[in-house]
Amino acid sequence: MTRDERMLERNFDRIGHQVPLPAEPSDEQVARWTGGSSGGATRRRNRTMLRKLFVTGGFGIAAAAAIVFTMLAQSPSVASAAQIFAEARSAIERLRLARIEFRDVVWKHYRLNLTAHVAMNESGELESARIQTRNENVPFGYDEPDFSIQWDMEGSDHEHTFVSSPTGAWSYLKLTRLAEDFAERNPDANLLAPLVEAAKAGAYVDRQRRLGGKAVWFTANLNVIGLADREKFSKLVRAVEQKAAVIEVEHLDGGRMVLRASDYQGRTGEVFQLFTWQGRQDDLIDEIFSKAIFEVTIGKDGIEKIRITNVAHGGEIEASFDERINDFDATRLMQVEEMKRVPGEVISAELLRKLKPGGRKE
Amino acid sequence: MLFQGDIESRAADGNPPLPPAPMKHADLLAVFQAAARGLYRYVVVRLDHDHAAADDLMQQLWLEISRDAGSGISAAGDAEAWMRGVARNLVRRYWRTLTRPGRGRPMADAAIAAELAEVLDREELPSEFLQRSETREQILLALTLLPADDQDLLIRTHFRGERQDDIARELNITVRAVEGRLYRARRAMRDLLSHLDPNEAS
Repeated sequence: MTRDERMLERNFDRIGHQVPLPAEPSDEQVARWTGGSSGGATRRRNRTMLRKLFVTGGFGIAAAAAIVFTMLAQSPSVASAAQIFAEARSAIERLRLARIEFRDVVWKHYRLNLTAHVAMNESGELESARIQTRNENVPFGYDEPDFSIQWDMEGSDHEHTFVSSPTGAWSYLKLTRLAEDFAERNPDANLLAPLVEAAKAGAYVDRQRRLGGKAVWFTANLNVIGLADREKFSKLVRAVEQKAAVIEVEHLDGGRMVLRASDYQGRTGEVFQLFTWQGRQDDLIDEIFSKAIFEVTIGKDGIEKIRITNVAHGGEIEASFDERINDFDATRLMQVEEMKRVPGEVISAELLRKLKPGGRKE
Repeated sequence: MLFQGDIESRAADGNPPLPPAPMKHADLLAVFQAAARGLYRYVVVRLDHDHAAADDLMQQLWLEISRDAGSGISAAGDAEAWMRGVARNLVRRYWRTLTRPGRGRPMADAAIAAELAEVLDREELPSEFLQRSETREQILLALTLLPADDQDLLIRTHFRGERQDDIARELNITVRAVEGRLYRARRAMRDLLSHLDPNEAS
């Protein structure tokens, strides 16, 4: 070994001793990036039909359309599912919502035919949206890994992520920018610091366990809530920090929000969470969540049902869970094609019941 | 998967060469998994050590990769470089879409990197030089540009102090082969430092 080589080697030792490396990802993390299952047992157990949903909000500040559609799922196919969503996203971004068609796409044990008609007016507001799906069973003979799909809202602080796997499906708003949001809006956000740190440390990554499973939606909601006065939500925040132990009634000024929740551990019926969000002038969040009503019904095994009624966009999502929070058991989509949008109006359950998935009235 | 050798031998037989076929999903997955830690380091260093963002971006990276299915990629080495290219674009997109671009963004400083490369095999690096965040940044930027195998080898040897014979045993190669690979990896990193692209960080 020459002198140069020895010096190079010694200097690399010095570098190694003095330069800190970033933390390495865990094996589970690596597996999850590619949709690797972290819950094989649950996957085997969870062979019942899953219906999964995703919601995408507007792309960019102006586009505030909510597209919702259901897909039937049993066991996923990585490539085809990813392609479907990638194509959808591409089409939506390119055409700013127009017409998207998928024909004979095999996805998760089903042959999927999907047509989405969406139209926006010149102001970027959603004029109408209609999704039609036709799903057929196709032969299935192999085990495929999980997958995950991300929708990011470029130009915004927030990312809406849809994650799906045989062990479940969930949707959440990304937390990574939360610290920045709070730093900007709430310099004294100590209350949220543990949550933010947890998120930074990857808590949301494995949220169903590390945030106590049922905290998924709390996480999502917190991002919205975070835009408002944190003091109003201190109990919720603490509940999340404590793995969603107790969330109590909060009535906010002007009746803008009602939050009612309690311990979901083993309780039935009495546990109920509801909040209405009237929206602030916070661009995208305002667009998507304005005048939306979230109802979460929590049973003895966790959240049983989530209903989101988005008045502004004339649609409703209802998701039920079996076994665990992140197992969507049934998702019913109702796109209200011709519903007039009246600010402040809540779509009546009666009207929604008259609608069939796909936006067609009975 | 069709490897370059298959294409060449086909041409030698007088048949028209086939275009490189897209990698099969399983092959692509294997390459990604093998390179995942190196790619993650690449990403997290360029995202100012924001592990949560890096984690998200890695998922996104896999989606992008699986969507393109490695079109035209015919060997594992090529595939890893291609994946790093995709990661690079995602990192750039990440910084572009930030509300306040530039905050916390790692900066490649060609002058500091070149200075470091210059002295690396000539004199002992002063501790104060290594304690400067700018210096560390250049080191990490260059280190994470290396192929994942080389990164791992350097990290195990110099950062974690693992013994070369242990590494050799684990990799099922001779100690001499480990020494040779280490030598080449150190040289490669030194070369990267001496020509660090100012745009490398993002």
